[in-house]
Amino acid sequence: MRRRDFIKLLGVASSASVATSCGLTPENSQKLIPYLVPPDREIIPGKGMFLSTTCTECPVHCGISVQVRDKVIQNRHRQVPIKIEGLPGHPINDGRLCIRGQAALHRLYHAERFKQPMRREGDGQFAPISWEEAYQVILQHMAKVKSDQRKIGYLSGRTTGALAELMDSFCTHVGVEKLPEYEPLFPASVVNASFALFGRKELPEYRIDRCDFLLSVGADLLETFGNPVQNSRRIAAQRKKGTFRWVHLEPHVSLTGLNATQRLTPKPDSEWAVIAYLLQRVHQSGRAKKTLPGSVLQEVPQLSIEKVEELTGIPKEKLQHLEESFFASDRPLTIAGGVSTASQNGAFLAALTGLLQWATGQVGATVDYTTAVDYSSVGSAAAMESWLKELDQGRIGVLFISRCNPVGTAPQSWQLHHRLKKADLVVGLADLPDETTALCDIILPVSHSLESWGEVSPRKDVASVLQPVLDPIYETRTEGDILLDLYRLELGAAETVDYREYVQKRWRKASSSRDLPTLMQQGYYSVSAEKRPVRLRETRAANLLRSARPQEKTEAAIVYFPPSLRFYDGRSRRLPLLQEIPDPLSSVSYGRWIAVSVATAKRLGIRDRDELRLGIGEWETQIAARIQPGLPEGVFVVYRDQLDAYPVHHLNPAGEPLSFLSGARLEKTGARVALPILSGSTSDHERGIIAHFKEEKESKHEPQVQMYEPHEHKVYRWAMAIDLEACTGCSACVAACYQENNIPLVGKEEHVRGREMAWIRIEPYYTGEEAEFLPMMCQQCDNAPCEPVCPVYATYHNPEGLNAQIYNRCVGTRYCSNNCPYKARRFNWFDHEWPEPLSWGLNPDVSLRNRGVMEKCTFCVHRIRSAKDAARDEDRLVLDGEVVPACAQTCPADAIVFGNLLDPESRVAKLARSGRAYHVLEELNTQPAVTYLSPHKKEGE
Amino acid sequence: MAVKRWIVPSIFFVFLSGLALVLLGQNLLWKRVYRQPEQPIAFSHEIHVGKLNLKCTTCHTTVEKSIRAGVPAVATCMSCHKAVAADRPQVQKLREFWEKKEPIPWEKIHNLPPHVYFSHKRHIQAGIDCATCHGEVRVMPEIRQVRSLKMGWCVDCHRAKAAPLDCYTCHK
Amino acid sequence: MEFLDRLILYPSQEHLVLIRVLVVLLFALHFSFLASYLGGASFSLLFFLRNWREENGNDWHVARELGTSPLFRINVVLLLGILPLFTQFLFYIQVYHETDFRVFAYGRIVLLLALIGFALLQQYSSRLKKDATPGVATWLTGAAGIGLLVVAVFLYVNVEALALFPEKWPFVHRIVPVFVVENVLPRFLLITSLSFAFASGFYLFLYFGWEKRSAEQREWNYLRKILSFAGTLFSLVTPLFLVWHFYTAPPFALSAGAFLFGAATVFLFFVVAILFYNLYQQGKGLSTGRPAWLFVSMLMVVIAVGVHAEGLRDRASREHQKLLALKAAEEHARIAEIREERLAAAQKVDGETIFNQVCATCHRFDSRLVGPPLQEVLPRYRGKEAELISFILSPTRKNPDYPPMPNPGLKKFEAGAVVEYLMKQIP
Repeated sequence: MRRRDFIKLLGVASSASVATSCGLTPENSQKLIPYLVPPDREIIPGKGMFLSTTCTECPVHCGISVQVRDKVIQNRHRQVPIKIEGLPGHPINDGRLCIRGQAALHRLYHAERFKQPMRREGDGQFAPISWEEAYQVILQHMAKVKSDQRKIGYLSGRTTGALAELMDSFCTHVGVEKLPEYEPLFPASVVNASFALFGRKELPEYRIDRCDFLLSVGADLLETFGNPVQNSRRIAAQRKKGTFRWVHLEPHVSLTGLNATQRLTPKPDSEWAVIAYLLQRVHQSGRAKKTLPGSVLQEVPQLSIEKVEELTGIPKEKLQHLEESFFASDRPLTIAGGVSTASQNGAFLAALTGLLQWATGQVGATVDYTTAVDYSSVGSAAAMESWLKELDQGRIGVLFISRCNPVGTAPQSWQLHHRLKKADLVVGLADLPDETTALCDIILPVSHSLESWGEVSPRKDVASVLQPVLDPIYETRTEGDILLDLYRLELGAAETVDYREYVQKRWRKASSSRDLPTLMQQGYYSVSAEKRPVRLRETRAANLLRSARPQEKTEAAIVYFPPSLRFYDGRSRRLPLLQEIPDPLSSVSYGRWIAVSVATAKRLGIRDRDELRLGIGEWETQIAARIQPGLPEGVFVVYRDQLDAYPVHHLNPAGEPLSFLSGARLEKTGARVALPILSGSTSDHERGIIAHFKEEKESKHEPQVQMYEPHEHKVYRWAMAIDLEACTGCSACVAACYQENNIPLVGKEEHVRGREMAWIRIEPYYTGEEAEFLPMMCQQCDNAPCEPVCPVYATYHNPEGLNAQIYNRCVGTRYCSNNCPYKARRFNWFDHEWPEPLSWGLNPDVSLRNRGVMEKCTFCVHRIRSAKDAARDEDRLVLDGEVVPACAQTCPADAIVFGNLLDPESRVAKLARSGRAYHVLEELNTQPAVTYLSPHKKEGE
Repeated sequence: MAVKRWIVPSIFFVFLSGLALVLLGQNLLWKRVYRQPEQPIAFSHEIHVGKLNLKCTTCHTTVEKSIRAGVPAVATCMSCHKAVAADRPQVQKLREFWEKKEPIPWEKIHNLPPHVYFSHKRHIQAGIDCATCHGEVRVMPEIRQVRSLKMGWCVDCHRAKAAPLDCYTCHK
Repeated sequence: MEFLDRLILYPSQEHLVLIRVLVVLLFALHFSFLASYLGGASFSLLFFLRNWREENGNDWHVARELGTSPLFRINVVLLLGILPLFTQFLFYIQVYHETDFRVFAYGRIVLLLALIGFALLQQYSSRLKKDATPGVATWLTGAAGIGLLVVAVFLYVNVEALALFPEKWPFVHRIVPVFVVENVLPRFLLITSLSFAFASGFYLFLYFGWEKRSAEQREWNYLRKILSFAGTLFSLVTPLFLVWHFYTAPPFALSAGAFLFGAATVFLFFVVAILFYNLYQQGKGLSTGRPAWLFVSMLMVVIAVGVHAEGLRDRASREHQKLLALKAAEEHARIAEIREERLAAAQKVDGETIFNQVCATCHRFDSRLVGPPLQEVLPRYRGKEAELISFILSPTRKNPDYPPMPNPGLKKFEAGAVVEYLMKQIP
């Protein structure tokens, strides 16, 4: 008799056998809801529908393809987005997406979103009102203000495309003054310089893919500067070529710096000296492709290399090495930006950099103004101050503030929360509450871009399409519709065109040849940007250099306030997913901290998680300490988004607020802070977890004896290759994984207990000043240590080489995770809640895990399943590259390759055979299916 | 003596009536577990499939091309029932739903646990007859579950048909 | 025996009902016979042993009496033992016609074993008749016979139980390994204990109710005690197994009625138990009325159990039986149609009335209702009336804009008439 029969016999007597012998128990009795009328675009149940639109999490505006699923919500069919991916072929990001883009759904489904218009009552509390009422109030105030000859101001974040056009005509017709647009991360110095030098109020596109030597100064290319997705993609591509060298100068430490081939840390605000030196050397050595006019050249300070060494503190021989490699290359690209230009000498640095680009003949080659980003409508902080004065004099009666948070991000010293009260009525157009909306009198809830029609132009030669992927969840309207409504009500215009029609009319004009559906699918169309050649404007250049003379003072105890990878300028800091994912440098997830250099920490006896009192001038705050390798002595870093207000007030000549404060006072309060630091250690303790590439690859260990029967894989063995040379640690994969696999957000307390749930994590491993970032997930071992210890056979090796985890079979003994050397398994300590509407975004292909169940990466087995399904329909095998896990799909650096190891021609098989291939903890003979490609050693300080 | 004569029979009685009670209790349990839920409209497959010979795919349109068979839209029902049998009470119920613009909240009979991935398409393409799992609906005045739909049963069939037995085939 | 499948005709609705009744009756008949037959044999073997222990002719006498009772006449065995078994299988074959439940595949084994078992027991009984002092061999033959029959019964129970699980039919192809479903064990125990109870009842009736033996003689008194005790015991145990059997029956086969019926049966058992107990209590002066009552109520119990079992089986394969009935109906309809057509040839059917009754619900000539306006579609068929007729008889979806046309269920000649009428209507 078989075992099961025997158990049956035992079970016979139990009454349970009736209760369970049929699926129909009241618990799982469900409703079956039909459509009322079948939807016009045919939806295949269980299959995603992909709609093209544009990401609006930051002004870069990547094209995205949103997976929409048909779900039954409150007994109605509804199409809702469950996952966002980069839109292939889009000129901005070509199919890839950053961590913030991946998290966009958490804004759409955010619990705190404004659900209807609100008005501040006498007691300062907000009370919901109807749209009509809101409009009435606004119109009344506008009428009054107009009658007594005062202004109506319209302040918005950077606005482009259709909305910009509409806004202009609205302002002119309704008599509203459009204030200069406000972008906290506006690189004023750089744009200002390129205006002075080349007459362009633009940020050029830096064609890293065309250069062979990259010198970046302060520009955080991988976090926020320019187009991070594009940058990291191009850098990775260049690296694969091998000959590419990248030197990064930064006074602090950033993800970008740690990824550069060589990272040099000059003294704060002394970067200009290096560029000035290179500039004059270019001319002296006669290597200049375009010689600079004397009038300009004489404004460039003449520095000996010793002088540069003294100013910057960078040793002479490094400078010489830099100089050599700079001259060795024939297409050296220099980029200045970020914290280096947002500084006292930043304007000067930017100007010098422009000149160097010009002199090395890169303007028009690697510095491309034909595809530049137009910043003409964005105002510097200086420009902002000018209208604030008007506000003080009460000359601005009504103030619209749209899509920006000046109170939270502008210099604290501006006292915005007092000065905004000067206006009779402040109208906020926003989706989430922030410091600014807290001060508004009327709040008009703006639809999320996934609920909106629209068009933006990320670059002056590209117009990107926005189309709604779901009906608005709440009573929100798009900004375009709000403007049109006000326009109509104010001027009593008869024609009732809504923003959708407005935009589509524009598209028909723009792409008369192409019909709308294809345009919607493609997601963008190119507009003809003027191509007049760039020429140097001598006098203006000279004037700029003269006006922005550098100061040669060196300051001490400097705290930098750079923007962060996760929260940009702070606009994303309310998104739960981004808080859950740790910052790759410090691997801290929740909370605020100050990065302290190793030396300083030793000097002041500071340990991680010590609470520090940070004071600068009269400004003071309590903040946790996190020791940051690679940070120079006397320099500290606090991400600007971790502060409620921007403490810096001083502006540089270009009118850009400085990115740092000097003279910081730092002392321990003695208290400890529960700061969730997720990585166990900042170093791999020479265990070869990061195996740097050596030409002669000696195998670290003898091939070991097999204790178990080797698994035989017949058709597929799924495997992954991760190129550590390409990986920048940008953590986009982590966000993608969370969204794809319904991974719960457990919050700070659980993180402090070390109970994070991420299936894939970025481990930073520091060796001295350098760092490598290692994406770690379940290695799908062939000799998996977790498998033999599972008492209930919930985890096992499946015929396709996956280390399967059957959730409903798991009883949560946690032996498997104890036995996993990669710490890749996660345990559900609780039943996690998915409140509406957050639950709408759940992926129906992945089951929710409940309390007491172990979970982990499955190589996105549901994607494998659907690919096999498709292949089966066509009676073929799955093609190489047909299965793409969420992490690989989004990786901007294309570092992750997935495929079938049994197919010798597959990309992954080739990489696994390559000389750089190695496995983490190879000596354990776990035979992982994940192969890492070892990175080249960084050159270091 | 008289008492003594009744002791044993009364023991019998108590024992047996105890058993009878157990049975009746069991009946309640069975009722609770195995109740056929009341459908909002008493739709008869017997008429539509048995008498009118409509194909399953006429209403369950996606059964051949997706994981779910799909329940017909109310509009689909109305396409015929505007005119056909419009006087019948059940059809009038349908009309009410249609006029109220409300979808019909059918009670789901064939439920699988949420962690199961089941593709109708695959099984249809493998030539499995609908009746294998749903029974002979053409003789069911009201649809009812006639298969346990339990894992053991699925596996039996997968074994017999040499279909894949890897857990990931069905578990998600 | 697969050829049987081919011989089967679809049983009509009434036919199926008849089968159900017959199955119950056969069960009652066959069961009571088999129970008494086996019971008698085993009791006789028992006394056989007693006889060896203390050598006095009396036990031996009883053993012989039991072993050579009228039940052991060869024609009785054939009539009540083998024929019903065979017939039951025939019925099942008919009921499970066109399913993947291969009744007879299992039936073969059961029948084979049963036949051998009967043969051996007949041998045993004839030995008892013939030689004055039968030896160990005889006893063993009897024992073997009983054993084989018990095995046969057990396998038979397997088949019966399997009938309750249609979802298992495609996947169980051999009876061995046994216990194809958890329902088997309680079923088997139910049957066995019931048969012992019945046997005791039967022999009490036979000897003390019918043949009026006096319980004065020691051995007869002993028999009475044994029988009534066994009876009491088993009639108390059987309900237990009945309840267990309910637990393990598949929910699809159960019904509220079944439970109530079960409860009623349990109370029947109470009556039986009391009667047995009485007979056990009463001393030598055994009143003759009681055994008769006992026997009657015993029979009722058996029938009740039979009805119950049949009820479950019937519910479990409800859909299939309906299907059979449906097909049968179609068969008859086909035959009837041929007849009618012959008649129709004689008198004319009116196409217009049929059209107004049937087609007009969906079709107008000039306008779209459910189906397309006939003016548009009909001209297509001019000259191709045959095609139109065949379409009406088995419609296929022609135009995606319209819902598919359901089968109007017209006879061929009626369709012909309608087409004729239609073709007249269009210019």
